[in-house]
Amino acid sequence: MNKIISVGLKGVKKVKIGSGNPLVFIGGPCAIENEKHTFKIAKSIKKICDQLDIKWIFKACYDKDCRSSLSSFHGVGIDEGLNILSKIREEFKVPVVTDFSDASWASRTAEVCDMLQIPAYLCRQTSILRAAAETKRPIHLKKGQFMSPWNIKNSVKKIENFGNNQILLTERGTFFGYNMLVNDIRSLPIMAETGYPICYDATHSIQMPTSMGNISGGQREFIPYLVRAAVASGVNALFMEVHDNPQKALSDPGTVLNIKYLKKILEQAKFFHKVRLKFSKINGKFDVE
Amino acid sequence: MLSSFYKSKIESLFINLDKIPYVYENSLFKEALDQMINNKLGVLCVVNNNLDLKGILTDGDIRRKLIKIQKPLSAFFADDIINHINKQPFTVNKTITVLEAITIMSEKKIWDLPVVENKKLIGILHLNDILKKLINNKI
Repeated sequence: MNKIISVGLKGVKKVKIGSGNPLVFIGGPCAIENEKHTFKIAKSIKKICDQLDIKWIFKACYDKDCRSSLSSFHGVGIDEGLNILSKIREEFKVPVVTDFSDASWASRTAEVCDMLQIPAYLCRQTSILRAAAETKRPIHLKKGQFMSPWNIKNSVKKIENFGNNQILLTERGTFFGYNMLVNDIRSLPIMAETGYPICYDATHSIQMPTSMGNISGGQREFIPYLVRAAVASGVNALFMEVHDNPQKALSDPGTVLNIKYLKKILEQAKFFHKVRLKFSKINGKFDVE
Repeated sequence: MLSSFYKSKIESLFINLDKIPYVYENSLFKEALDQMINNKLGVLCVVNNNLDLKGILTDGDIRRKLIKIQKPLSAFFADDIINHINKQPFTVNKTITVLEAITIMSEKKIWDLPVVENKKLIGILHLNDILKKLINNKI
């Protein structure tokens, strides 16, 4: 029961994610810093995705409620953020996704966004899952760093019970002791047992949560390795946050990918995805019993 | 006396739905185990929303799976029950006789038989209840 979800309301190019469909890229800056910068990043991504013929969904957040420190950039806020996302959507005809950390923001967010994202830390928060489900938008559910891949099923069941079965499940690393994430590729096929399409978040997966005292660090040199491994394992979508100047990024400077590398990485990802698709058509879903 | 007991219907002997372990087909393995523990029976029925019987799981099935499926218990508990059941169990309807029922149990080496009416689960016939009746009524 491999499900395919369709992302994109009226006015944008619809993107299908799931079995048999080409790899989808979900990306953008971690946070909306300002309108000009958001447009700059979106324009660069569009150019790359057009060149590589990859369907994409633009992602950026208006409120970063999970910052380690109060002094960190919290976001431009829901009003300005949704306004900018709406303009991006209109200008580039691209579906947009953003996360929300408070159940009361869901319906307003869904008025603009084609897809709603559940932050990993909140992946089992019933009120958030209910609010997202009730918007009837596709839901990008990130598996918490603390959660085993088989337990994401509980959150999936909550969403289904609230009447929504358009779900994309994302792996973004798993806590390994303190301030460290590891990536367990086994989680991709395990989460796929739910039947829903699977996404791999390559930039958050290399995060070292709050490893810098009051801010998270990361080892972005491992992004290409993990992308290749995840895509070859059969994910349906790839998520990466990009920035034109990572060190100056207002959010997640330790993990965002420098956009100058995006084309190289997506080109490889597309290639590996095609190979995986070819062999899954020959061998079936499983290569071994 | 004994022969009339053998010829009697199982109708008054089987355990009704409200006292047997059963779960819906979208349940997790752990929820199924809870039901078996709460109802103190070594067999569980899995039904759809119409209460149609989809299959059963027995203590023996669980033992064999524990050996065969090399997963952490927490992962095993989160599995969908539907992937682990016997989808073609022996069933009976409530109009069969005690003799017919214990003949099936003896031949198939089982002591629980789901009782169905037009595919719908209505209870379980448990060998123990037949034995109890034999002993208590000194048949």
